[in-house]
Amino acid sequence: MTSMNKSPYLTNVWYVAALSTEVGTEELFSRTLLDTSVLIYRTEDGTAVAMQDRCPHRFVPLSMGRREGDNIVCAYHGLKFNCEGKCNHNPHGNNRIPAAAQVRSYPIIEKYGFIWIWMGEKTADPSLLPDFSPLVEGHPNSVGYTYMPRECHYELITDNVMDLSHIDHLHGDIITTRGQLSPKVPQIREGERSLSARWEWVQKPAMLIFNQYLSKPDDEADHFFDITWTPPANIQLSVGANQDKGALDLDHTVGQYDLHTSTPGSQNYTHYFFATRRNHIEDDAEYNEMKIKAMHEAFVAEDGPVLDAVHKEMGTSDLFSLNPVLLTSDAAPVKVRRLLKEMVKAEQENL
Amino acid sequence: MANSWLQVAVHKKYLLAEDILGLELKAIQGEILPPVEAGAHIDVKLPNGITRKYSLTNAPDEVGVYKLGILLDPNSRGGSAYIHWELRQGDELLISVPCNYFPLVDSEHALLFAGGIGITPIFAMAESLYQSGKSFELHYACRSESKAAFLNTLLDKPWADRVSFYFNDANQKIDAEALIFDAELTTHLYCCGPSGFINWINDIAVKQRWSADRIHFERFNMKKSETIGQESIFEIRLQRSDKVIEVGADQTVAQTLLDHGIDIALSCEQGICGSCMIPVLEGIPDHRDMFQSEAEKKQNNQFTPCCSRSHSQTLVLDI
Repeated sequence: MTSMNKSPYLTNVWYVAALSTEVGTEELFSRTLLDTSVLIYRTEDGTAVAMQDRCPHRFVPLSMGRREGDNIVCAYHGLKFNCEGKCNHNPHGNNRIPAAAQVRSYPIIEKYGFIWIWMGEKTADPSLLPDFSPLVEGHPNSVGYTYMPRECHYELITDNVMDLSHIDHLHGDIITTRGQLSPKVPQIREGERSLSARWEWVQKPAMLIFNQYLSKPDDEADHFFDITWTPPANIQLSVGANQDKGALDLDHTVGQYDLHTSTPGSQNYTHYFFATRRNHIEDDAEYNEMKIKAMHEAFVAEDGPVLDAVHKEMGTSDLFSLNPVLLTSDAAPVKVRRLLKEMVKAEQENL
Repeated sequence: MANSWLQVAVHKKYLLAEDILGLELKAIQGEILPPVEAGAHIDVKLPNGITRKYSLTNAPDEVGVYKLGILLDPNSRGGSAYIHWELRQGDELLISVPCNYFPLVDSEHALLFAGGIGITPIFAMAESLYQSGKSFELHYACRSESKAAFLNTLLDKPWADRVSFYFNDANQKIDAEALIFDAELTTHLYCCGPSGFINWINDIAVKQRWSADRIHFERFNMKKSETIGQESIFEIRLQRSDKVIEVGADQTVAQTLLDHGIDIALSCEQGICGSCMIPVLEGIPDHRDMFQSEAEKKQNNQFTPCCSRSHSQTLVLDI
């Protein structure tokens, strides 16, 4: 991507390229991110590195080549590149290395269980990576991660999480709010580079993912959802329930701290990543495995097909051009779409 | 809405008429009160947390003090009642800088109508016109002599002969039809008072085909008496089509526009989608949408007619 091309994406920002667990010590991992094939691998000391997955000679994906220490040798004509994408060996002619034999490399931060990538033209700014440290604080058996590729535009996934009112309609009994959420208009908070929405409600019994960990499983409980979007497509979601009129936050409820984050592969394809840490039965490995599996399944079986179908039906990523009928529950997603659009526009104008 | 507040103290508090207080505010801690134009108002932030708008009665040469006339609203929710009963001389208040939605414009003659407490900005206008040597006449309607603020002050003015009083309890009524009919095409009309009074004067002028730019009015802030249910009545002025339309308490701006045959792009009808956004040229919208950011709302240069209303008596819209 040259600086003259206008990317449809926000680029000077951190995207998740992969779960940390997806990239092993030996392999050449390839994934299309923002319409660009990216090669990710770990150097011998375990550091994740990323570069465009394309040899500048004949455009063979470098991930088809082989490793030689921390270098990559192209499968086609043997050009060798170091982990910064610089060619350091040309077996042809007089072995001269053309200056143009340079693969674009991308800054990486490995944090919170994810490999984050910076694909913009500006110097990577680590301070722009939001703080999701609760994911990595606590018992290893109370956190789970999953990856779910989808054939839909990534903003539809953001919309889906920013508008939680769909859970009573699309999802099964286990996370229903028993109709309590849809009538509520969320409280919206604007941050400098964030947008939050919060719902509080009462339901009986509590959400079934929590009720058995409350003192009176069949009784009424107070609940909250607090979600915060940060660009480009991170949504941190906290949800919990209590029965003692205590504060509605994760320190005073039976609840969980989740991160939904998605990275566009293209305009029609999205890498959706999810992580969840709960604050109860923290050492139960079996429950942990069941929990992340159930959440993965719910998304793949319930949200996913709807979002893919919506994407197909829309035929555009410009929601507003279709004059959708919007509801109170759309307040937060509409604001996020606008904020993102403004950020993309500002970035394009600064190019 | 002003962002920075001025600190003032109650310098004088006195009775102007039955149920009407005069209030004089002076700056404290060396702050300087910005000059006042006739027709301007300030927001007064009372110690009980309530903020109210009151017109200033200052003459152009009265500087260093802000003068207000405040009617005790029988349904007061803590604004005028607090000022009447609780506020003492020396008490400190926060006020906004003056804001003018009701300015005098240059004209050969000004026809001033005041109903009740609506005299406050009109009094300032008359004095201002007099001091700048302009032609004007003032028609002041009140329930009774005892309820007429500034009665003696007006009678003592060198321009007293330009003032006509009309007292309800003496069955005196402004012959507004004739006054408006007799006015020259270069005359501008200014009116302040209760909603019914303003509507009456406005309807006469509109019927006599006065163009909207010659009609100026400001509804003084007496919310309860002007509200049906919770909502206030205000007017929208359509700059491009030169129309003035009143928005009733039980109507949205969008509905009012549609009723007048003005098509707008409605979608969600509850301030979520922003489809119906209209540019605002003057006035302060009461933003009730969730579409705009707080920063956008503060600019007050657009609003959603589907759900938002108005803080000022008039909203001038760029349609």
